[in-house]
Amino acid sequence: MSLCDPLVFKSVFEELNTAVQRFLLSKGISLEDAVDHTQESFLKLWKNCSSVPREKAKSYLYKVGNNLIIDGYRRTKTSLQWKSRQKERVEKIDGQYELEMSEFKNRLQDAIDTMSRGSREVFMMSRFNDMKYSEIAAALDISVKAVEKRMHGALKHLHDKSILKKG
Amino acid sequence: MPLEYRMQEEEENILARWLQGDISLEEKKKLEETYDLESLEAVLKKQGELELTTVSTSVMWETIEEKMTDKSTVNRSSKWKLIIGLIGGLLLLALVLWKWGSQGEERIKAEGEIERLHFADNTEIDIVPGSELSYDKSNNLEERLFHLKGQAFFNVPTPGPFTVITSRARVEVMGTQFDVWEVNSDETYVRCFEGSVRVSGEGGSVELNPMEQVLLTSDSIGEVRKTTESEPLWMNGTKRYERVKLKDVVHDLACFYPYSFPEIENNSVFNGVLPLKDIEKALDYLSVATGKTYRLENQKVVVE
Repeated sequence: MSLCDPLVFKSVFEELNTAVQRFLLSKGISLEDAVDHTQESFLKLWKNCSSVPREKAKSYLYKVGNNLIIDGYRRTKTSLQWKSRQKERVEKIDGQYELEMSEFKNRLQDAIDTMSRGSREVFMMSRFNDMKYSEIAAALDISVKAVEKRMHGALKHLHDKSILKKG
Repeated sequence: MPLEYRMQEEEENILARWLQGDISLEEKKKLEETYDLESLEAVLKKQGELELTTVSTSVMWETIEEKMTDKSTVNRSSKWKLIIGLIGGLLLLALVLWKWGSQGEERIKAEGEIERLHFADNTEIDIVPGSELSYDKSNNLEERLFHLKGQAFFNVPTPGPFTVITSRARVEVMGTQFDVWEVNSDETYVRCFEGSVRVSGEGGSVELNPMEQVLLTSDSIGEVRKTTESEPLWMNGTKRYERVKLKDVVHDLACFYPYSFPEIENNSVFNGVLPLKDIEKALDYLSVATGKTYRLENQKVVVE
């Protein structure tokens, strides 16, 4: 099951492509940059396929992607693009749901934009990439307690912003 | 672990544990006294219906596969080609390193909007519009010495030396998050949000702890005062001015808005919070506070 086998590599790509893109988006970079870094990370994995075990591929990709972002420095602006997980449902119900979600997206974007960077990063990884606190801690090289603290900050911020109540 | 410290630690992560279902009934009851958990849960449920837009796997794979083939070509290429390529690469790398090393000072001015910088040690710096940050690019990672004109927020997660210098203050980091605002050439505000910082000036030095701020002038260090903010308000679209000269307030606002502001010579002191994303409101507040009329006319702010 070596990663140097193109079929194995493709299956790893299919399994992890979206997760790596989301992980990089959580760091506050644009979709364009996230796609570039994801491609570069996978190509690096391919080049080093003989030295990276299959089970370490995910953490390797996160690490390479993260290094690409912080290599030197990079000026970024948060500009996240959302879509509904249940697009079919939107079309079936009526425009009301779409309108509500559109307003909610704006408020959520505003709340996320105004979170502290540490909290935003952890919140995005947890909520949009379904990563466990322990996985986030490993990816960011911080303790689980630190992840919990940042997540607490993010949830408190969301609560204080009361984004559901307005409208 | 001392009880007091432990309680604080639990407080700081309790919402995160609540989300994981990792709290007792008693803790939940107590949490409900402070937080509207039902609303928060509803927000998270709704958020769960959203996902980030990403590029599809099939589209991405086309590019990856093409480049993977490039690798096979390289593998098949002759030994000589590889050696020549390697030498060329090394020469290019040497050229890049030489050029990078000789570039020296990096100067970044935020124009029109907040400029965010990320560094290899995970330091993040948000520079306020109109402000300028400079540093020596060649040995920045070891030295971490920055010169600031204007205002910036610093998030420094890794320990070690980290210094910010303005015309009046030298701020040495002993912790993580702080904000420096060089109001004018005589006054600099420093506020600490996490960890601690040592601030030095003509009048001596002082250590700031979280939620504390100090004003440095040309010949003194002011009294350390408490602040209620847990992060700079300007990052959320407003700014608090405490005992700041009106001329400096107007000068500062000019950095955030794309309009021409008049130079005024009013030295009276202004206290208050002004919006940074709503020019009409900001001018209204200024008018009320100063008794003069500030209004927008043909992309210019005029005072009457």
